[in-house]
Amino acid sequence: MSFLETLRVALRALLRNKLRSALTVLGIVIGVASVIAMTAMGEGARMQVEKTFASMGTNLLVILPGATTSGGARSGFGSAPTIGWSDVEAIRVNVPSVRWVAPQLRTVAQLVSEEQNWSTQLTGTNPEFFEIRAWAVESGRLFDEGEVDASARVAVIGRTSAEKLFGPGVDPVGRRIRIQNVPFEVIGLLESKGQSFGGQDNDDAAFIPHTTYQARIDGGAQTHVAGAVLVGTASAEDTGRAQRQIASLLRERHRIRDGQEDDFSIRNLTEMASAMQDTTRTFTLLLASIAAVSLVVGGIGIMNIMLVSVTERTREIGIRMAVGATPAAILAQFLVEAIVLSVAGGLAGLAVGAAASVKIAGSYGWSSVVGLDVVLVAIGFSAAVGVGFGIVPARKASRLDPIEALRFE
Amino acid sequence: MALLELEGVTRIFRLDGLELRALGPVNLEVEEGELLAIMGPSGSGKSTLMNIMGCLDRPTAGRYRLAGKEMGRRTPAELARIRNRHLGFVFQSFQLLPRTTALENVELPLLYRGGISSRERVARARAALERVGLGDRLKHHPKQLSGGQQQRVAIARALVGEPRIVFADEPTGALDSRTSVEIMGLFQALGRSGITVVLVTHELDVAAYAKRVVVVRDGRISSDTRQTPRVASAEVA
Repeated sequence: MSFLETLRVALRALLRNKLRSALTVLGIVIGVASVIAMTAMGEGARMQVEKTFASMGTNLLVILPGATTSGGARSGFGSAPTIGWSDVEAIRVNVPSVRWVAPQLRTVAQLVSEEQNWSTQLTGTNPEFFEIRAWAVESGRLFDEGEVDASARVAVIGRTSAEKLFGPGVDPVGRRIRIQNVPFEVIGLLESKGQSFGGQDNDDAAFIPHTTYQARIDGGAQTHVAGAVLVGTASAEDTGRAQRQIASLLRERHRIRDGQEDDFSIRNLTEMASAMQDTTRTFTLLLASIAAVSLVVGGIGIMNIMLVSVTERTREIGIRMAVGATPAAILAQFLVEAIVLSVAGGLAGLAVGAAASVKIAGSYGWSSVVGLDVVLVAIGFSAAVGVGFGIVPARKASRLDPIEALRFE
Repeated sequence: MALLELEGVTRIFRLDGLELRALGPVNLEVEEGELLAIMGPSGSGKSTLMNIMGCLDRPTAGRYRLAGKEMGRRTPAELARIRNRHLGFVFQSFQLLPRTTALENVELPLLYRGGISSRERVARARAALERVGLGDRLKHHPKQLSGGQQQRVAIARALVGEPRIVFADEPTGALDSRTSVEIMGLFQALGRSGITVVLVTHELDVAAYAKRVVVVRDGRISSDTRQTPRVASAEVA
């Protein structure tokens, strides 16, 4: 019997018991749908993490000062300015894998335009900061080294700050603002970067040269960096080496002996990013394997129903054998029935799973990803479930003795 | 050379370590075109004999040749192909597929033969149903047909593959006497067209239509006689 004929016979047999077939399929639908939804959401979460880390900057190390002990009270990182400006220069000169070094002096400051005022994150830094964070202007320009040296009163602002100060759609370049009563000229509008990892708005920010920041905001030049230092390396592979080299350089410069605690810390964001991605991947795998259990349960449902079906149709099998159906033809018929059930469930589950993952991911603000590979795996896997759980009933049917089967009541 | 040749055919069933000789040893030859009745009380082994001749079962010992070919040691798949190509079956309880039209029931053997187009299958099934006088019942389901009509569908199914032998196991057992006569007329007509018919029955009335009667008792042939058959006045052929 040809495959198409076998398929036709199988479909007829299944449609004869519509409710039973539908309920059996439901088990597979739930299994496949949950596997699809879990992997799609996991993939969406992973891409979200990737995107967030990419917005923080690539190949990034953050050096935080602090961790001092005074009178027995140990303070945390950032509690004391322990990194000198000379340290920043030393890192730039002595560590070859370092490409960019940028101080990051931060405070929350009130910005005042002619029309409005807005409290935002103010950062004093140098032009390399924008290289590290891969952040370009949408209009105007960034400040340059000359303006840093001259402590120029120029500012580059983010999209949100610009909209709050000047209204939506207004190009702020050339406009004047006051920061803590000091007049500044807005020379650049940064392109939008969206949310940061902590959920903060990256665009709600303003940037000025760190020299200007020290002089005008912090009240005079200091010998130490009153904030963090960002370091960008040429490639992701360099971050680990750069981290070790900077650590030993700073320990040497700060005269920290072996066994003594560092008065700084270095965070490797590239490593953090890959650790986060590993975590989400593990979670995806975990969720998918839990979902796969329901697929197995669905497969057992198919096996159960097919066993019932073989018993119920013993006489039919006997008739078919008497008129010349070979054991292989009977095997094929019941196996195809099981596969039709499981693949129908797989396709329906694919649709349900994809819809569910889009909906769930949408409510979290993630992008949901149902890849072609997932689709193929879902169909292949459900067909495999059909074969795996259908083979036992099908063999049982094919091994029936025609005489016994014809006598079956 | 006879069409069917049985030499010392024996069938032993093993049940819980107990050996039960259901048949044999039996020697029997059936010529092409014969209408043979196998008679015997229930439990005599006549159905076992028919099952072996019909390639539904294999003998425990002895030799069975169908058209000169040994059937005794074939696999279930080989036997299935032989049944499909050369044999037809009619059973007491009709054994039609329920919720399936007469036409589709008759098509079934051709479906398993393979290599026959759907159009040709339908044409041949239709011709077979017309031959048994059911040309106007093609789309009826077994439930919508009388017992006699259902048995005619079964006969059409046995004939559709153009077999050399048709085996009928108590074909009139579930029918009233008038319908039985019609069905026997059909078998006689088959015999006239050169098809060998092996009829299993315990009714003398039915055996009367056969040219040769073989009586089985306790698993052995106790008599083998030729007779002038009664003629059924059947208008079908």
